[in-house]
Amino acid sequence: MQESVAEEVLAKLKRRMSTLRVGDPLDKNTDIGAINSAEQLAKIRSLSQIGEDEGAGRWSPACELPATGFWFAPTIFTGVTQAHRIAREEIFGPVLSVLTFRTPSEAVEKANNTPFGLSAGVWTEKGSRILWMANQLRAGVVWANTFNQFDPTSPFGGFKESGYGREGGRQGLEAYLA
Amino acid sequence: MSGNAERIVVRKTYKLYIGGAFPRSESGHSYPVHDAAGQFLANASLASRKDARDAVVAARKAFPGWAGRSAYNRAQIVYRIAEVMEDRRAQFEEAVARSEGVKASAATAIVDAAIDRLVWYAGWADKLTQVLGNANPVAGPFFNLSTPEPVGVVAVLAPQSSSLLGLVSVIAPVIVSGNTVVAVSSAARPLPAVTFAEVLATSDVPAGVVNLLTGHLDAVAPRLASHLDVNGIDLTGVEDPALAISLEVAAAENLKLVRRAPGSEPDWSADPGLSRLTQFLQTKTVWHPIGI
Repeated sequence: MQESVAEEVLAKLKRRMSTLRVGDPLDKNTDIGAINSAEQLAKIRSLSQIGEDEGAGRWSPACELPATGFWFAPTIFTGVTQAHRIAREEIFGPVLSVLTFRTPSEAVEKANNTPFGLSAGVWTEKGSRILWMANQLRAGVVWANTFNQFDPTSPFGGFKESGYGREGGRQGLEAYLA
Repeated sequence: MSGNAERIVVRKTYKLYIGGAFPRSESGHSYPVHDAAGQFLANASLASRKDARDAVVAARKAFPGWAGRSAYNRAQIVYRIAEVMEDRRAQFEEAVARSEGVKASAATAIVDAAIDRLVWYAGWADKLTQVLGNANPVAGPFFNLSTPEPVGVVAVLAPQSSSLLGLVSVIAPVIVSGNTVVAVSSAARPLPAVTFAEVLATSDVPAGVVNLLTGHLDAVAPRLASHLDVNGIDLTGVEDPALAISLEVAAAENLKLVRRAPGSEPDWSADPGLSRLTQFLQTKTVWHPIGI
């Protein structure tokens, strides 16, 4: 988040996160389903605890979790730096680490400073800046002024340690061809 | 001048090429290089694992600038390598003839082919994106574009027999798309590679885009294969199947893209096709909403 608007964005983010429904993944009204295993839930809990221990600010909305199953409330960490483990390791859970930046170059540097590169998202009102950011970000999918979009005609897959190959699109067909 | 007979011969020291400079191996080690008939030719630097790590650092440093240049500019620079090679062809012909034990006419043909290959790959720089990239017709109001991107730092283990044509044929396709390279030359025939490095240094190729190590694969290849800041590895020059397997296992640690070792050395005079160009590319897809 750009430092100059971080407070405002964070307030809106918290308001929106407070309305997310956590529950049965088969219910169409559900925003966040269950965690896929006890093992993964333990990993999310452990990394979140490490985030707190390392000094990041932890926030979750007041939300009711189902009594049985593997659940984790949506969580934001603020005041995160690149040295924090929650910024370096894949949490793979409903956890958002917020780092702030002052210039687009700083944002790119921080976004690329990880061994992973599955996807990236960028929001900005200036067209040329979006195209520049999309060029610079080392990720397999870049969502610009949108997020979490998928389509069978569009290749999905990561850079660096986020995986081999692509699924979907013309590039996704390659693995099936001799 | 009457003193000609007493002149001390100035012998060339064959060194490594790292970050645009020509250092000796940090280990201080060298090894003797012989011609095809077994006659001593020169001592070459024996690259150590530390040299390999230094080369990776140089390649990583050069990557953003090289990948960020326009494809057209990279094409011009790779073409420039061909120009400078052409200018020094006599030196290459001699080095190839002595290293590979081929006749002068065959050496000339090999140098011709190496120069032509650089020109061919240079031409691909600004055509790859059109051939491999495309717009995707997603079922929603989005502009959706996929483009091929360089993977980053690639370790290239060059072939053991073809000391020049083979070397050029494995390096050019990797750099032309924006990757940077740490190459390990033929162990027994490293001298043409060192001369090639001298051409690179005077061809507008930015420092660190190609780094060249001479020596034995046993010492440096495992370091490159397991290095977490290397994104791809080409095993073309690995002749020992057991070494190839151990390198593949090491490369899996950080999901490097791997070009597997061939069963036998490829025919470098054949049409190269696109596989070496596309080996170390990855697709980036950008989404943007369409609306008013």
